[in-house]
Amino acid sequence: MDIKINELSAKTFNWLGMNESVVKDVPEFECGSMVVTTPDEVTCERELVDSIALSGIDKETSGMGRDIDELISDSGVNSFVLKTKPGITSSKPAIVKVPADAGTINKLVIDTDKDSTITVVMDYLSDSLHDEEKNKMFGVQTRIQAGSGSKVNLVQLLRHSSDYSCLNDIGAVLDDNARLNIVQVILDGDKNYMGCRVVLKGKGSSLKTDIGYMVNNDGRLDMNYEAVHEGKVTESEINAAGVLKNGAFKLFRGTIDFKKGAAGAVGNEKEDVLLLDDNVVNQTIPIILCAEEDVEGNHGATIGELDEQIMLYMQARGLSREQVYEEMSKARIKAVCNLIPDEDTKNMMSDYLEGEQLLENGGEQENE
Amino acid sequence: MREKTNVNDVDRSMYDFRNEEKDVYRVKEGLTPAIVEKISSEKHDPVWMQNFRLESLQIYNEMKVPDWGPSIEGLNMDDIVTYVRPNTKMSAKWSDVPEDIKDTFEKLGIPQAERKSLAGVGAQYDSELVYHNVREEVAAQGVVYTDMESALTGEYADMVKKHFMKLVTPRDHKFAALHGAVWSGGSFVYVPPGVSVEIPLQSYFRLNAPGAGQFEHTLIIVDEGAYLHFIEGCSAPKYNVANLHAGCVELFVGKNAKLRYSTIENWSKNMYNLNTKRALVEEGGTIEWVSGSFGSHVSYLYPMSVLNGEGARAEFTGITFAGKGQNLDTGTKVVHNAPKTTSYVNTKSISKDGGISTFRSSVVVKPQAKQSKSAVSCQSLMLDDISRSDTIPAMDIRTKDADVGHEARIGRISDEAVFYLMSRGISEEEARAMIVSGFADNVSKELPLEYAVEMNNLIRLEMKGSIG
Repeated sequence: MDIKINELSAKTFNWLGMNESVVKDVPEFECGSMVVTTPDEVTCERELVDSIALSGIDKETSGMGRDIDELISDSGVNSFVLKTKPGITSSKPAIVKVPADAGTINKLVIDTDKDSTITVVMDYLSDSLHDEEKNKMFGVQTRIQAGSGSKVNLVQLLRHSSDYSCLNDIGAVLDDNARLNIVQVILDGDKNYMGCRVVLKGKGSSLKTDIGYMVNNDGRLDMNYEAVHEGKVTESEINAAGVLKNGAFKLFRGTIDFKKGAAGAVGNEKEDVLLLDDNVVNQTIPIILCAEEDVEGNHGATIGELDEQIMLYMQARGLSREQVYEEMSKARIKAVCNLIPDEDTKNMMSDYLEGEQLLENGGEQENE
Repeated sequence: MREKTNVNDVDRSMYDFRNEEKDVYRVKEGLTPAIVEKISSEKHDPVWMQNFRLESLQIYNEMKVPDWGPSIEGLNMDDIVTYVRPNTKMSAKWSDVPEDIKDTFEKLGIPQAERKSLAGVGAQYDSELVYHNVREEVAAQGVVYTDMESALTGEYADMVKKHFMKLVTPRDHKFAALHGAVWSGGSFVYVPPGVSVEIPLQSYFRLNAPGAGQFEHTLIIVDEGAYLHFIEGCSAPKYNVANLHAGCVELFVGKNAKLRYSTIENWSKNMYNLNTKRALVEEGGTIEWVSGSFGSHVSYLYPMSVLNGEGARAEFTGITFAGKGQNLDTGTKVVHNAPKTTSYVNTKSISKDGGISTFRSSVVVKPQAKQSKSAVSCQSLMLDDISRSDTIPAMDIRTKDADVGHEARIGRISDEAVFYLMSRGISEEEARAMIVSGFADNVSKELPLEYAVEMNNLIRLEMKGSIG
């Protein structure tokens, strides 16, 4: 089965191939075996997707679009629903282990009550390494309904091995003064499809998204991030920083959509891409849509290789060119990891990165 | 509640006069092989062109309308007259041009501009050129500036055949195919190697007939080391039926040559402006686009620069003003196809009174374009909350050895800036007018003085309206 995902809300020249992505040969998914550990202050229930749909939480489209909803619905996923109590800040993060099991899909719902705070850390890991099976795909959808004055910290760490492809989708609606902070670290995987659509419905609601990615060898990263400003005085910030190496392909779609009535809204997008090889493909389409006069929208992008001055400086301190690239790549990922609002997870990622050689060349993809 | 300043619309009265239709020939409405053959026969096309037109028509019928831009549902090709020949032949003397047509161009200031500041002028009325002239001293340098029909069969026939719709092929998009089928009029310019044309050439396109289309073709070849500034202007009176402009501009910029192409587009608000412009730039060459889009009901306009030789360079400076009933989708495309190429894009757009302006661009850096640089900056100003302003820039980078930057900004007139000016004794209305004028300044300063004045007249924002 083929599905169409990550469709731009404002299309452009078809020959660029950025308007949407078609994922071919998607398997019939089964319900995945995600494991959720929650602190005492957070309730965790299982619900079938159809009953979740009835609750209206799927009313807004997600970043990937309706095809992924249908896929989840067809698979009869038994979802996890995390709920917070009014005014309560959870003492620890909810930990969600997402196993990269081929042909499985999971769904997580985060529903926060008034003035509560929750941190959710989702860790995507695969057990098997480089077995014979090809085209292994798994998926996760996270739906968020943030109640007024509540705060949701969502951390997603994509560390599954490079023989897995992942569909990772987020759809969120924020009520008055609700805050959503998303930190995503994407370190591996064959093809990673990332969708994220956040509707800032309530007055004073805000979104901050920080994405750090490393795409190596023949990896593909296909992203669609959308901040929809409906409420007054809403704020959004989308920051993406990454490194492309060998034959990596990356497509970043970022949309700030100011709807009529979103007076006083501010939206900012920033992308910084380090290109390390001549075989990489870097596509970027940062869109600002504006139907309201009293708003401010900004976008900035810098794309290219490492500044020669920085390279010379680092080499003068005894590092080889390869070491400089390794360190600078790690620095970008670490900068995003430092934004993780949980010390244990932050330390875990720091240790993980120390043990990883991010720019390990992949066999025949060696170019240097 | 924030105070609002009423900003009046672009004053188009100087363009909105119409003449009685005295054309001597027009084809039927619609688009059929018979109509295309009739146009070809009327224009005494060589055989290759006749075949080209029919092939283009076939491509047109095969292609779909774009699914990504403003709606063009109001354009029905069955209602469009694709060829209207005015009641005159082309002349090199203004005195030979019929009174009503001459009066049209005089109202638009064309003969006056020619006397004052132009090296040559071409004036097209509906589907045909009615006046074409080039100064003797410029012609003596070997510069060719003539109408496309003469070029097609004259001394430069082979050169025209070699280049015609090779850069913008009929397969490019549906309306390029339409152009290939029914094109008429336009100019051919050839600047020989090393020749610098110090004062600009200008073509002015006027569409008088209601329900008609204008499909002029402009082909300019600036040979090695040469320089040219070409200015294009266009306008039409407003009718209640849709008019169509699907022109095509092909520019060939030779090694180390430089071409500046300036456009002030002020079609009436019943016009569908589906125009295609493209430049191919060789080693060390430069294309500079200066583009002001003020008219049309719907516009699709993205001048494209293909930087094909090492060190080639493109600059695009543009402004778009979308007022009531207008949906103007404008921008630019750049392809870096050789090492050390550079592109610099700087655009401004203003939306008011329900107008929709979209900045759309693409920058493609191919693997071979090592050490290339690109910088894109687009700024949009919203003057009320019933308008729209979108920016849709795309980048596709396929080498590590490139430096690409992009910045976009959408906002309203800054209260702080207004307050600052008011604290210096300037009224609020005047302060807002100054800020909007300053916003458009980057384009006007790129134009020759006469055209800068015209542009400023076009976007004269009469800030005498009410506040509140």
